[in-house]
Amino acid sequence: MIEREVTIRNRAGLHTRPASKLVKTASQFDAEIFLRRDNYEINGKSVIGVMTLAAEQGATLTLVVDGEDEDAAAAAITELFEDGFGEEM
Amino acid sequence: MENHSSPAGTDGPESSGAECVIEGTGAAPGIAVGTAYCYDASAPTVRRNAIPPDAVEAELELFANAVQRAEQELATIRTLTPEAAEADAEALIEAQALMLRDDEFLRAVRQRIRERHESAGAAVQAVLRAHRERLETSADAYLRDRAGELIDVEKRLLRALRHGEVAAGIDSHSVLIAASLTATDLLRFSRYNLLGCVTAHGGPTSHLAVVAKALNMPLLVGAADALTAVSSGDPVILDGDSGRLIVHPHSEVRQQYRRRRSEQEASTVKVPDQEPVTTTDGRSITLRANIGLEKELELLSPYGADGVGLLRTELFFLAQGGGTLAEERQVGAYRAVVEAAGAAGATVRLLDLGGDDRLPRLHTGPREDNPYLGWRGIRMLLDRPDELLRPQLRAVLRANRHGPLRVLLPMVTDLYEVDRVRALLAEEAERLSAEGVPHDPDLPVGIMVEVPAAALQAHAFTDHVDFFSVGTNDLTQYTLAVDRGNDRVAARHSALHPAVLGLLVRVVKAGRRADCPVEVCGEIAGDVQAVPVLLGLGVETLSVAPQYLPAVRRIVRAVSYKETKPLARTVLEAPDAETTRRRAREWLETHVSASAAHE
Repeated sequence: MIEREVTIRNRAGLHTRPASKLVKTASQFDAEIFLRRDNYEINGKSVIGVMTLAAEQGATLTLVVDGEDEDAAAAAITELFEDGFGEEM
Repeated sequence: MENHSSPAGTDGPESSGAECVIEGTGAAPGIAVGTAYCYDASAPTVRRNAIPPDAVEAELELFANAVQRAEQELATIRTLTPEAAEADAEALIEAQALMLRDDEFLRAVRQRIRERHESAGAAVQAVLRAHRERLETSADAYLRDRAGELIDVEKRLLRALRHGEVAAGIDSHSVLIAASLTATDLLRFSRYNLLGCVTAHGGPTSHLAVVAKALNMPLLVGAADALTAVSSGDPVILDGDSGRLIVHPHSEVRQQYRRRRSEQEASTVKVPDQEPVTTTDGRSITLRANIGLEKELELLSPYGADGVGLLRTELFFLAQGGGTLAEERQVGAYRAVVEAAGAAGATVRLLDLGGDDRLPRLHTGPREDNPYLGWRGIRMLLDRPDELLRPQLRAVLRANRHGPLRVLLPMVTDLYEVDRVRALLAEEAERLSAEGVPHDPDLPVGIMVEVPAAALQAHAFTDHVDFFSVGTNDLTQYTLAVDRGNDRVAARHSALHPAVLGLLVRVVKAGRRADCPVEVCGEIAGDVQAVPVLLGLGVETLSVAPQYLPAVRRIVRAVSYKETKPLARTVLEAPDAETTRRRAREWLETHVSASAAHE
């Protein structure tokens, strides 16, 4: 199991388009993927869940990845966050 | 014809109820003998009561079907939207599609149905509402606004659920009764082989009427009493010819109508009428068909249409299920049309979207205050040349080598618009040549005269266009400032208003001087009383829904052109629409034998 902190870098926050991107990436892996903010944890493969994190720019989330392909999954998702989901930062 | 508004309970068993006749306006012809299905669009969309335990499986299935239907809807919206539509709109559709496949969400809904016996709608609302509350309390304004996207999904699913419920109630014996209905609703419900449709509101020239005719389905509008007098399951007869709905008909009435119905069916499949259509004094009149669905191609030959005078391309694509504007697909569709139309060819009207047709992927901005005065027809096409206009022009050019096509521009108000389309047409023809794609660049270009500006300036347009097609429905709406969908004023919508006829004359005269053909393609061309007026005004080509062709043909053959001219003069001088209507009716009664006018 991998657990690490990720930060929202893009200006608009984790809104619809980044949420879709995140879910599509997460769904490519077998590993279970969760995102936690404060005490609220959601499934990283659920777009409605990701949207309801209501994570604005600057928010820090805990990414939890568990499964055979967890290394690749964690790397891919971390990269999305680093890259600000390809949006304006 | 029949007069069976007899007093209550004179016949039949007590339980069958008393026969009553509800008057309305026949907006699409034909007869339906069936069972009422009352569609109440205002009924609460969500059932709050717990469902019985033995209905759980059915409810789960209803939910699964609704999700599927909503996904199909999104797929349609997606294919209908041009490639280059705003990335934002694209992202929203994609997100909605992902939400519909969100396992956590689907599982949560199914669990509520199974364990709490909630209806599918109630479960969807409960699950989404909990999520929405989190978003709505976010400190970030932008994210707070995203809650709206969850509302969109909720609405789409609830609508799909409702359609599922309606579908379950409709069968091939149903006559749909509704307060009002959109053209899209009718298209959707028509898949269940409805027999006919009755609405309490609305006028005879709505888009709904266009679709009903296209589907060959009788339609009665403005039947205000239908909502209170009819319940689901009541036996009914819908008479779209005389504009009546008969509830609990007596058995002999029913027999009569069944007979009439089979007579009508028999008469439509008879051998096409090949004889030329001329007036008694030998003036030749061309009668073409207005069509909007591929299915209607079958009607051209039996109803004896001399080609297609108006191919509406909006529904042609929407109704094909997938609905795509891809060039290849359009080429195939236009080729089928021109081959069915024969030597007389077909007039393809370019996409006339806007007005009351909103395409979610094109209309991403705020709702227009005045859509009919807004981004509609040629205005939209010229603003989106690469996504809409060029592919359609290319497709018409390519299909044009399979038979004579003409292209018709909707909602033109300005000469510049014609010139711009011609320039693009030349560019695309050149491009096709360069690409080595077979096509025929010899393509007449005409405009719909439906805005008073175009009619008033018709003489100026004659140098720029090859023909005029007068769309009297919109011309009337814009001339009289009457919204034909608004019950309070719909009755004022009359194409026989002297002001509308005055504009029509202007176009006919301008066309005659410049040798530029003028066709009339609005509802008025199918109105038996109006036909002699149109002939007298000098119109030589009429284009109507195929079902109206036999009646129009009979009238043309029964009148003398010379005698229609004084009629035209007197209606032009009439003070109002009511007077023109009365004069037209009286003229018909005195100049045409009753047998010719009505069968």
